[in-house]
Amino acid sequence: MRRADAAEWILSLSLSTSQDRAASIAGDLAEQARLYGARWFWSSLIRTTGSLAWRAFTDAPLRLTGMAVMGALIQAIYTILLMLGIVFGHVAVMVVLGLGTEGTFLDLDSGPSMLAWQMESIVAFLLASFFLGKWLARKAPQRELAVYVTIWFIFHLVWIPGLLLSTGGAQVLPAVVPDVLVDIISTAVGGMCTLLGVKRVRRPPPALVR
Amino acid sequence: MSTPALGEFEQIVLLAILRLDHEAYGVTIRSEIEKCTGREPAPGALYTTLDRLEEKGLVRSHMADPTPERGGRSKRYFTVSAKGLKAVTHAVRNYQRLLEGLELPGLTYAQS
Repeated sequence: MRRADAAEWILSLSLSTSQDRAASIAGDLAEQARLYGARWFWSSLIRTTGSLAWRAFTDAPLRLTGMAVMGALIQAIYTILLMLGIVFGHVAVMVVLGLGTEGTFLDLDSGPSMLAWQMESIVAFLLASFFLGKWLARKAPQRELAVYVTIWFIFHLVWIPGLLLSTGGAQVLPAVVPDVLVDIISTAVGGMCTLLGVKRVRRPPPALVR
Repeated sequence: MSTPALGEFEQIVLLAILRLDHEAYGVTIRSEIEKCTGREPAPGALYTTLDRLEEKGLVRSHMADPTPERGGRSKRYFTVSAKGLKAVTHAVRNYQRLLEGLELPGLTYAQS
């Protein structure tokens, strides 16, 4: 019955009501899955979670938008701070080990420096996503998913027009495909890290822990 | 106190709960709607409607009867409140009034 445990936990992220309700919906889906199969179970879970998250948003759209703006700012600030910590930490370690600054952000002309920048920014983003999850679990309990999706939506409201402007609007599709792929992957992986942050604060039901 | 207005799906859900009497929970409500209307409601739509009806005070729910096929999870049983009964009666009466004297293919409604 592990999938029902997982369903209960996922539903509890979008429900604006009690854990009991998440459990009863997960139980209903598990009961019907015996008739309709696993595919039906997971697609129903996704659609039900979406409906409940949407309802959580429409119940208090201004409050949730405010929280999403705050969440986006928190993630941006965390990313910048962590990025600074990581790159200066990198330089400090290189200097202490007597390796100079080759390959760090101070070594602007080298290829390894660019790679280090990218790796460090990815790590900073993932850590910031984790901290965002912890913040969401504390500030928007049982509405985490609705707020996270709103953050994602606000970010893309800014990012997509920016991308179109930067490519001049011409030959948009081929030009943006790599960026869109990176965006999909980073949204998915960042989302997983956010979920881990939520999980850290809000323990899953005991059945899922076992 | 005025009778709250009901959407079409809210009426269907309330009528299904009434038909099921004390056996109304997510799974049975969904299958009753499918049996009577031929429409299979999406689980998400059903649960958000049930929550909305409960917030309006038209239905009440309680948890009971955990079973092994549900992974030991309780069923959330629904009953229609007096307010809900009044609202659905009002909606059905309005509907019948609209149908009075109409002749539809295969159906005839006499004037009462």
